[in-house]
Amino acid sequence: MREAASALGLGYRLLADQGDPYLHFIGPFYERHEPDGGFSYACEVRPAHANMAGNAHGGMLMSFVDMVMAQPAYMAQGNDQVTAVSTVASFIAPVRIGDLVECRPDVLRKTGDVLFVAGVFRVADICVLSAQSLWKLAPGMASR
Amino acid sequence: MPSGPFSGLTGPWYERAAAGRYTLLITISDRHLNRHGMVHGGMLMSLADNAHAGAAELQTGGVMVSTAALQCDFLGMAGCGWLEAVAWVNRKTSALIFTGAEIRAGGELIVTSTAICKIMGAK
Repeated sequence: MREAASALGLGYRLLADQGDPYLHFIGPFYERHEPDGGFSYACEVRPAHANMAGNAHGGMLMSFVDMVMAQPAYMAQGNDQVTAVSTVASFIAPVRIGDLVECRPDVLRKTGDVLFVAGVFRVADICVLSAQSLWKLAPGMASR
Repeated sequence: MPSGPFSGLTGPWYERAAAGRYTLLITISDRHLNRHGMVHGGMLMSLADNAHAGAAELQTGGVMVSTAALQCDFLGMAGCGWLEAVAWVNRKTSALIFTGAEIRAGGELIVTSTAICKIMGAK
């Protein structure tokens, strides 16, 4: 049984504005600093995020996924000069309006210019989505 | 046509279907961009997801599909302007449809994608 949960009630705060117009347009999203130094992220699924079937739109979920997977890449790189090269996701269970989707992403490996990031996305204790992303130092962005 | 609240928020969308291929167009404007002034990866994946569903639903007689898996490879970037996604069906089974899609900006290939769509209500 899923119970409605609020991000703020679970200790999250609004994700700081990182200057992405698209995320401001579709958000808000939330972040929480964990006691061991890690970060978790959350999205409260609103009616505006729905698809025709009344569940969260796959593109909306992938937009949240992209934001979440970018954060450890930024931290590992020390700046935001990274770009997603590839993202793969499995949609394991439907996400409904009112659900709070949470994820604590991990950097699996960092090489000289490539980062492997993974995330398991949950609603309460139900795994709803898993994703992996490959990030690369953005060509041409280092000098900006 | 992509519809529902989220597609209404991110659109408008324009579609056409011919010879089993589904084409979906959108005009990228400032609200779709990331901090670097390029189309946000999440928006590209929204476009891909809608295109996969459009191609799959060409073969279900209008029965809706839901995305079970999605892969997107980002070959290039694009700023404001038209994006064109073309999607097709690689294989259809009784419950699943395997689709492919490409996104182009001004003729340049920027995303290649595959998806597995589940036919809603199929056993």
